[in-house]
Amino acid sequence: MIEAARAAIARVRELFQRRRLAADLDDELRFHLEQEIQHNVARGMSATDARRAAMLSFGGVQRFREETHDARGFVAAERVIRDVRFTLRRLRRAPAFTAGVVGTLGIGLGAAAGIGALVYGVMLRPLPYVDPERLIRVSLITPGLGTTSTDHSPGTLKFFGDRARSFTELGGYYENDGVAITDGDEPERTTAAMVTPSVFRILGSVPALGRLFRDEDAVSDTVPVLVSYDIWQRRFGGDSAVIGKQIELNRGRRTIIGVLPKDFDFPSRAVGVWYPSGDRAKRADLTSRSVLGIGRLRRGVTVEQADAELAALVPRLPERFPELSPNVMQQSGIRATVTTLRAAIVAPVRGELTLLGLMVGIVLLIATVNVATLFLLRAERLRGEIAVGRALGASGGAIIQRFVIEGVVAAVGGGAVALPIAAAAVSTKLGFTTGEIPRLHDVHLGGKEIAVVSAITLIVGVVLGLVTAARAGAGGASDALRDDRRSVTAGRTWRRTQEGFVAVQIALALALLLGATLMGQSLLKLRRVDIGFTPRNRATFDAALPFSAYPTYQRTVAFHFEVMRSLAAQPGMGNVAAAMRLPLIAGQSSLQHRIQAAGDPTRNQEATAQANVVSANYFAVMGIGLRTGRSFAPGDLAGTPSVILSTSLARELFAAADPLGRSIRLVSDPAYPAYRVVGVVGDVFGERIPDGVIRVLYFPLLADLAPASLIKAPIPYNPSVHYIVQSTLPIGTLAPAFRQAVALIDHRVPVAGVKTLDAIVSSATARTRLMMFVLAVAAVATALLGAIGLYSVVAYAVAGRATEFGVRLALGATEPEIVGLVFRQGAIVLVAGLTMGTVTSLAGSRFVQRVLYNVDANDPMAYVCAVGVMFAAAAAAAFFPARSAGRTDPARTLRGS
Amino acid sequence: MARTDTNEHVLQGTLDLLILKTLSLAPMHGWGLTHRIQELSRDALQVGQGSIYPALVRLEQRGLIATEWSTTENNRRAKYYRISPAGRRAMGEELASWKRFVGAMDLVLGATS
Repeated sequence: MIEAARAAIARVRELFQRRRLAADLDDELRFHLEQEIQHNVARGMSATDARRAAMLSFGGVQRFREETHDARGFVAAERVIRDVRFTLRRLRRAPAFTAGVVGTLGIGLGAAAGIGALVYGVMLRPLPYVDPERLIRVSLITPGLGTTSTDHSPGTLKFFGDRARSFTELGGYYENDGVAITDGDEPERTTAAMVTPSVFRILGSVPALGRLFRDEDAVSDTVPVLVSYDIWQRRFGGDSAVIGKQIELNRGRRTIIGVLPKDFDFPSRAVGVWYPSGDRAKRADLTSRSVLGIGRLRRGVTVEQADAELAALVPRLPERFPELSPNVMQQSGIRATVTTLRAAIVAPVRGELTLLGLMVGIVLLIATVNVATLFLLRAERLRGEIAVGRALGASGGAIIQRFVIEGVVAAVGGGAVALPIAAAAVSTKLGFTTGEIPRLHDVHLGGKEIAVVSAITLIVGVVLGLVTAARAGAGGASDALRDDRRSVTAGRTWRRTQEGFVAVQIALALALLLGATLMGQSLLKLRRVDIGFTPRNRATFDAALPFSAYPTYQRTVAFHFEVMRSLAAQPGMGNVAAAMRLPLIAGQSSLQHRIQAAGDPTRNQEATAQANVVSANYFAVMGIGLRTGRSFAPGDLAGTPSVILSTSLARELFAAADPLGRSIRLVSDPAYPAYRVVGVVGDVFGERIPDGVIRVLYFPLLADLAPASLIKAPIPYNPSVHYIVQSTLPIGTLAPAFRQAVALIDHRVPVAGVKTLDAIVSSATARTRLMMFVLAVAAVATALLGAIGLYSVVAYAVAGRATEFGVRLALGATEPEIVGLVFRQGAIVLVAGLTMGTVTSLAGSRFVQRVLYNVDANDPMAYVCAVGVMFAAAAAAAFFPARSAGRTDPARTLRGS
Repeated sequence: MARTDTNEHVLQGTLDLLILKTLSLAPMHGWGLTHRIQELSRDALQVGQGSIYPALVRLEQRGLIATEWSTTENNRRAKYYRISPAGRRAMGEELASWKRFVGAMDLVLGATS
């Protein structure tokens, strides 16, 4: 064993010393010859005779050289090098073949690597926390309450945290993006995360500086905070003496106790400060839940076990929260679930990413199949050559080695093309933005990804080589020599294989075409959707007011009105409106109010709706149509405050009856007064168009509250608003103007979220557009490849059967008959492919459905279109070789045989 | 280039043993080796150069002999071969097995009944 290893090592070492060893051997052999001559001379021969005798006994220097050389084991390695050189030369001489192979593999591998890296980086990569597979999300679902929220309330989270044995502990957090850092000259908006101190223990985080939260921090009067690495660098110059320093957040002074590490991104990358939050667990608060629950599974506990434990705890909720009557428990349909944290984070984009992943698989498969077809066609042409080589004594191993090298060389070429494509896909993130897709920001093409791509490249190369070698007849020389092109039967298996390949390609192309058609239909529908407002020449920004400085409705409204006046006075600005929330903007609170139409005992209708507080000119500035009644006017907050309903809410509450003048109440917030309906406006969407229009209850934002109602505003408002400005100025000049206008009123209020409404609308369809684009490109490429594949199969069959056609024609067959004969053969492959493709698509429709808008994934029209396009392309591809078959010259082919 | 011929195999093993034995007496260069074997066998064994050098390479790779460049008595640079400790051990084993083989052959060939 040791000896074998030593011999192997010696061989490898000698391989690198080849030249020197060859020189040594020459030297040694020359010495031998000289000695022999001297010996012969010493025995009395003449110089010439001595030399001749020595040479004779030597038997030709060259042979020894070769034999010692072979003994050193150079031959195998040299053969590899020779084959690589040979392959390169051959590939250079067949530029079309080489370009086809390298290009196809390059695009296939590149797309696969690029999208694969994105899908892996977002969906599969472990979270960057300690032992990430044990991190879980605990959710609370109440389908009966008309909400899709999976959040907990602090109360319910504590309930489960105190009782469940499956977790080391549970923690909760939520984000507030309206926090202003107000010390220094430049106020800055940031996002704050309110986290229970347990969150950092659950994640296993360590601070870059200082310490993380302890349980007592949640009840501390000083309210200690943690800051992000970025804020520490930018606002404190990376000074390590920052611990214990004060930071002014929303006008309140907080003490910094720690700095989080550079890449820390929990709960999101936007977070700049972390506040400790305690468990204020008085009530279950099922209707206003905003805490996301996370936890760490105890070692050995599975997600399923933890899920079962929570399910068993749900019925015991009323023990802790007596307000949860059996009726409420049943009506709400309350359930608690456990999923892995990674799955929970990725959930919003799972549909798209799964689809992309499938698509990448298809593209790579097709690229490989195509290249294999190219290789096989070539192998077919080389059969004669190989057979002669075998007959002359080339070993099967040498031939296999030759083809494997050929495959690997081609694949490496493809890999070289693939890497820049993959790098481009990864660096552009395919047009997705980090806001849309979690974890996208730290997706990159690192050493690990490149290693995987290289490994796949080599595997593809070796497989290509082996398949080709098998086809080219590495098996037996006599077989290959016998099986010339005219024998139809012997080539049957090979043709079947190739036809199978083409059928698979057509099937996959059909699936992609169908996907692209469906996405196209979705996009058309999205485009045609009446979004309910006019985005052109309108921009928006928002300002969040700290409660400490703006504790009353009066103060906030005064601020908003001054800002609006200040903006309208600037050159180039038209009308200015304000609203608490805007359509199609993600990340706003989705809090639902339960509303009851009062006054009519026969109709006791209830509905849920989101509240919005808007200035009187909001509907005019936004271009939201007034359906009936009037917009807000001064005086609307006095007495019985006025409200305006969205069309869908009016229909829900009053059906066909006239809602004007009717009275409504907020059932979920009985502290508020009754309201009088003064108008109905058109519908708008919530965060996403696919979720449909939302029901909205509009309250007036007015500066005319009577002094008597100063204590508490009669409407549910919050102190942050979006301003909407009509202006044709470019966004670049608007942003500083906005900042200036706000600074004039209060220089410690930062401006955020500067966008045009056009941009907001466009980003609402961006993902659909992108998916459609990617699918369409892949579909067209695949369909082309499928058509080319079919063409080559039919053309090959035609070439192989030329004699047969000649005979048939000579015996009286007509041209159309021959064309039909050939075409039928292509048609069988085509129909098989289309059938397979249809079945595959039907089976895979649920993956597609998730990303479609108002389109059925099994839409028959889409199927008809996709099948039609594929059929037309493939039929055209089959027709040309069929026609040439019909034009076979009988005389020539018969002579030829 | 697989050598599967049985005779050749046996001969090759025998040649290795001859080389090891001869080198165990004194280090020498390739030419000297061929002559020494011829001499020791009283001209009965003539080792062709075509066999001796590949055999030397193989033995060297297996670590059974070591080589060094040195100068002859005529001041000519030559490659000298020397048996290694591993070579001595291998020689012992080969020798024993050879003797068993020869003994067995004798028994069979010398059988009279």
